[in-house]
Amino acid sequence: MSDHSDFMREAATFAENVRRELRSLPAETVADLTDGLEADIASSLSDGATLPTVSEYARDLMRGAGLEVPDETSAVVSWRMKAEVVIIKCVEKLSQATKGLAPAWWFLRAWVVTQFLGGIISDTDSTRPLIGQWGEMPIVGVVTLGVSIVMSVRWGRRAVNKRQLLRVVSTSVLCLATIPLLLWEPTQVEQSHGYWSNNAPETCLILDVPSVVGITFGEAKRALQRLEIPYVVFDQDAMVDIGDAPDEYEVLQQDAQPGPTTFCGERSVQLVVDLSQAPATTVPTDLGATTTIPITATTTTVKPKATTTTTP
Amino acid sequence: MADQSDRRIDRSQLLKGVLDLATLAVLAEEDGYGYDVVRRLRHHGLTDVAEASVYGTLRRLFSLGLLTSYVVPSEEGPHRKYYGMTAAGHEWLSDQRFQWNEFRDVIDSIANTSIKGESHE
Repeated sequence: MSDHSDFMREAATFAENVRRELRSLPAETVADLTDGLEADIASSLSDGATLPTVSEYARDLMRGAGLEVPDETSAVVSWRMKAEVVIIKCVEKLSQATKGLAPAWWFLRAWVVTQFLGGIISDTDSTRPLIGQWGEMPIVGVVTLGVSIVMSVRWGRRAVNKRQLLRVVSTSVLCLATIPLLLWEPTQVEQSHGYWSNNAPETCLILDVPSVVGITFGEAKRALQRLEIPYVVFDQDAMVDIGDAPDEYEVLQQDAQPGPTTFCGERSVQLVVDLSQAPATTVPTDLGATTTIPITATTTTVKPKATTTTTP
Repeated sequence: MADQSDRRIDRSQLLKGVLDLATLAVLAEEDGYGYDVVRRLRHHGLTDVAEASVYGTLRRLFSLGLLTSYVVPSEEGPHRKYYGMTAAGHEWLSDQRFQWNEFRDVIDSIANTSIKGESHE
């Protein structure tokens, strides 16, 4: 249970807060209104009374004293109206300051709309590859941007009424929705080779690429053809696709690496054949461990007498 | 249908007009400090009177010259400000009592008209 000193302390704090609440009044009036207030509040507290809020107490005090009590609601409304006026003025000033930038704003608005539409239509789901981002449909993206710019500029110049705008928007949406459907065609995938992974995307193929490095190009070619894996051939400089190479030359590098590899679209295995070295003969064992025996190891030396010398 | 709270007369509005009279009336009995006046008003039945309203009223009546005040030091804490009636206050109270009785009779007469009518039938 609180003793008298607790009540006094609480009363002093409350009275001080009431004085603060009355700070809009002249100091003399505040002093007159609150003179002896601590003792009265302490008595009230010791009687077990519950004090109202400081604000309510101060308003009661003013009302009892016949002073004009500021209407809390009107004060809030007044503050809100002032804030609105300030905001409106700021917007007007900003609008005037940026008036010269209106065309830039029109283009920016059109660009944002285009990106927004692209984002909506965009779908990374590879089962619908053509209903994708604008990157996959650049023409549609350009058309959309063009239409957006025209609409944005006309809107900016107030040259379009609402009905026209609605018609243009609805037609554009219909066109944009139709184009991807016209372009879409399901991708056929043959399942006669390799194997399908349960988790693989529908249009991609996972094939077990054999290791063909170190064997002859002929052997590598046959191994890849047997698995129906497409390949391209480069010379040792790996700069030019040489289309084909003599069978007996050695494969220096391959990409993709041996093992299960995902093939999507036009992907193929790239083979680098060393045409600068002497061709090799190969004694295949199996594809996983091919042994290459260079031809030079079985070369028979030709006797000098068999050599024809030509003198000028 | 109106609920119970709607049926009650707004006592705070009624009290506004008669708080001066009530305050002077209790001080006419005996001098008192702010909370003492509140306590006496509540004792007489004005249980919902706001303390701060009474304190404000005391300050106003004092500034009108109807009350006198004096400070009584306290050993336990801050001083107490006591209020007492002035001659002008007594005169004012007498006038207010008359006005109030007159007003109350009028309201009684109006409010009880229907009761009289019902009893005649």
